[in-house]
Amino acid sequence: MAENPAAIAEKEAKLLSIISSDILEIGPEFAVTDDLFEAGLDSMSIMRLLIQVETAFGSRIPVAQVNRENFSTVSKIVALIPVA
Amino acid sequence: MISVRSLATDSKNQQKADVIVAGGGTAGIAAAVCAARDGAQTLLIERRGALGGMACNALVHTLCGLYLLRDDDTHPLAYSNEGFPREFAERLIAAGGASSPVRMGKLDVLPHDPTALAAVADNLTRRTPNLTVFLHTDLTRVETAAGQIQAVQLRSQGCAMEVSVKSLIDASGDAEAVALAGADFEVAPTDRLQRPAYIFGIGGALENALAGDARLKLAHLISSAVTSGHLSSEALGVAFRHGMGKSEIWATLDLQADPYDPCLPECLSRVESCGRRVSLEIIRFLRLHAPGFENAEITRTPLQAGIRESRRVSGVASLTGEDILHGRLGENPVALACWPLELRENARGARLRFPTENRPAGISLDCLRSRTYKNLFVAGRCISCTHEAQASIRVTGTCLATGEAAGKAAAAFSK
Ligand SMILES: Cc1cc2nc3c(=O)[nH]c(=O)nc-3n(C[C@H](O)[C@H](O)[C@H](O)COP(=O)(O)OP(=O)(O)OC[C@H]3O[C@@H](n4cnc5c(N)ncnc54)[C@H](O)[C@@H]3O)c2cc1C
Repeated sequence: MAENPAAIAEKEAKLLSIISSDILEIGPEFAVTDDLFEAGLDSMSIMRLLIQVETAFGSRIPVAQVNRENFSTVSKIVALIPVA
Repeated sequence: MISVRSLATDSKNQQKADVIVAGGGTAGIAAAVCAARDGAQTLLIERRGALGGMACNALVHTLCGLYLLRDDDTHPLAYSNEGFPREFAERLIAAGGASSPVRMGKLDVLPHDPTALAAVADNLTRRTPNLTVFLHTDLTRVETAAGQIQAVQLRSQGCAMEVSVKSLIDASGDAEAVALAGADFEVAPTDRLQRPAYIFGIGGALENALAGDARLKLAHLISSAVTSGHLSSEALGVAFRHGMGKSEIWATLDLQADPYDPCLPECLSRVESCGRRVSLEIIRFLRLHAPGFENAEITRTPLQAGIRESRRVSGVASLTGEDILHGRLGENPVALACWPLELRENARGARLRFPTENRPAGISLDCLRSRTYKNLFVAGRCISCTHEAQASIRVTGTCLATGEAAGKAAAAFSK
């Protein structure tokens, strides 16, 4: 079942705010489609990102889905979060 | 007091040297070789059993700051300091102790082997006339009179020796000579000091253990294990990187270490034991759970945890973060700093601040001179600068350059 656009946008905004307050130094102009690795995401910061995603959304992204492509933008990460 | 045959004595039978270099890290190696080459009878003393400091004993394995910044590799690679830093890098490469420069993101670095670096330093110092090296020797006291350093006391294996000196170079990383002399220094507030790290080497992993998305998948495994309580939370500070060859992996474990004070033995003891414990937890975990790490083992443990920042001397002048960010050359720079500000004020990885147009900043000799004693020079990560500037100048390439400049200046002063 596809999630409704408003719910997706809400999740994206929540994840973006987590990333900007705790994970990466990104400005207010940073978009949900901008590249997180170019903004400094690396194998150390992704550990905290994964933990924060679990805390905020109540579900863990399986290891099989962890790759550079899937984690390159906020939108793509949100698409991995199972719908509650 | 004992006397040592390799040192000269004066008319009162007191042992003497023109220049004493306290600390044999990258800065001290450069300072001692360059002072001796300029004709000063030089004594280099090092507490531990190998030269190299952090770049050997703490297993730092990449020389940074050797090359000018460039936007991309269409611009040619150029040394930022042509003198001793270039010579040392080339000796290391020729000896097989360093590969060739590698582009990491926007930066060019030279991966090296920590033990080979110490061996190259052994070879070079042994063949330098006028230079004596004492390993396993600690600077324990600095005698001053009339605004100058007069003599130092050294201690090795339970024996003390006193050596009179014309000038002293503090290349101890922690400004120990400065502190012992009672000269002025500064330390950043404890919550801002750059955090320490425990580096260890891993062998026996498959060559593709870090290939493709493996590093991200490792991050997932480790963070899951931390959440489930199978690994200590400190494991979140770990990052993996290949060594010079694909068969070795370096793990750098950044530690928050609060409350952090790198000048206190209780704090250092806590850092060392935490690094040791968590490194063992991590290797056990990797063997059980990480693809390609089934037969991995720790092949190198550091002789000491890596300390990035502690005391900084208060000099005649002080380099600031703004100087670096604006690439200010100043008048008569004796060394160039060209590494971005690499802030590691927590164990969550680096924040980089690049200088405008990749311009290098000039370091003046006044930043290498104590404001308290005119024959006290400083080189390496404890030169006179702000906390922000130290985040750039602490890299080994710049330490080699400030070492060279301090060595030449101390030799000239001693004439
Ligand atoms: C975890 C970590 C990672 C790093 N990564 C990099 C990197 O990738 N690339 C890079 O270029 N730089 C890196 N750095 C920074 C760099 O390694 C150090 O700042 C640099 O090596 C400092 O050189 P130094 O000669 O000033 O001091 P040190 O290397 O600290 O050497 C000082 C020496 O003085 C000796 N000593 C101290 N007091 C006395 C005394 N009283 N008597 C006798 N001997 C004494 C010590 O034993 C030591 O050998 C890193 C640092 C750390 C801690």
